[in-house]
Amino acid sequence: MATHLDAHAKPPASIRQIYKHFQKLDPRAVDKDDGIIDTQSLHESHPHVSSTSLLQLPANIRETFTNFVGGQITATEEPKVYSVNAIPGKSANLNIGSEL
Amino acid sequence: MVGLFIYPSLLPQEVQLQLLAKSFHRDLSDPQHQTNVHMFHHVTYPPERDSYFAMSAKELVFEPKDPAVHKPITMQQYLTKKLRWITLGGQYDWTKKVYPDGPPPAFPPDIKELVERMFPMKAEAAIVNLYSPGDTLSLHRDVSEECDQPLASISLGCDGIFVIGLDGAEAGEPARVATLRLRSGDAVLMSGESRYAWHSVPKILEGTCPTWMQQWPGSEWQQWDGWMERKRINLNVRQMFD
Repeated sequence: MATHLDAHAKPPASIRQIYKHFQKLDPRAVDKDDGIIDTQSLHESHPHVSSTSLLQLPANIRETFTNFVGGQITATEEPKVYSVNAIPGKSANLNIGSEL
Repeated sequence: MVGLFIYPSLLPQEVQLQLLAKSFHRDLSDPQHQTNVHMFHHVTYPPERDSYFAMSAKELVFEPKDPAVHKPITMQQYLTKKLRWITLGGQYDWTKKVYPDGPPPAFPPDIKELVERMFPMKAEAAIVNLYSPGDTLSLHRDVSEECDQPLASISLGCDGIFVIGLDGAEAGEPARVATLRLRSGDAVLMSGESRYAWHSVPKILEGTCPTWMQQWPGSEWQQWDGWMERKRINLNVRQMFD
């Protein structure tokens, strides 16, 4: 268990406010909300994500998919991986949550 | 490599449909994989581990453990709104927020192989969450696993808004938050700091299930034809031990 974190802790107020904002948001406004990262619109120069080659899928991933379905799969684009800039990488055991 | 990673449209249509079939036609009928309904009701099973979507399950009724508190659940109620999560492999105790002592049930081997070939982790426990428009998942952190390995999340069906956040990097700095619109076939990997980030699903977007998935499980399942049209399914896979 991640013993440095309390499973019963309450979330920070600032993140809770963002949650409530999107909970109340009119679904028709979702498409116009620039704060939402739409996975269908990602590209190399997207302001909120960065393309990464460090977590590439194995070269035979298509074979994994055909094995899983027990048959052929439709052709798809080469999978891409993006990291989210606002949530940077850092080892999990470095003081995360000590103040949460 | 740590952080929050997005794999847009990772899963082909056929893989998505097979994940639905394996989770709902097969694993839901396996008593070792518990659901939220098991907490307060006596869950009975279709004959010969048939699917709950089959005609042979149509007349099943789950009686409450305490009739003074809960009412019986019909199959219509179960599959339409009462079933909110299924646990695969390690069976998380949502009340105590711990995993029970002792070895966990085996994780479904075909889903395990799929997940482990896609992501740098072992698939040992999963929670299959079911949402309809209007349903939400409150802000929480997944902190009960005994390791710091990544957590993988696969989306199927309707789009969902996903909010994830960490407190500021230093005291007094603003929280670091990202909001994603996750679509069917997308995967997200949470590793490092983001593995234990606060996260939530504040909204499900009605009318966004891909056309080719809307009819699932299909006309051969009679009254359940079109069940997926108003559903979002999230397969959330964790490694429990280093």
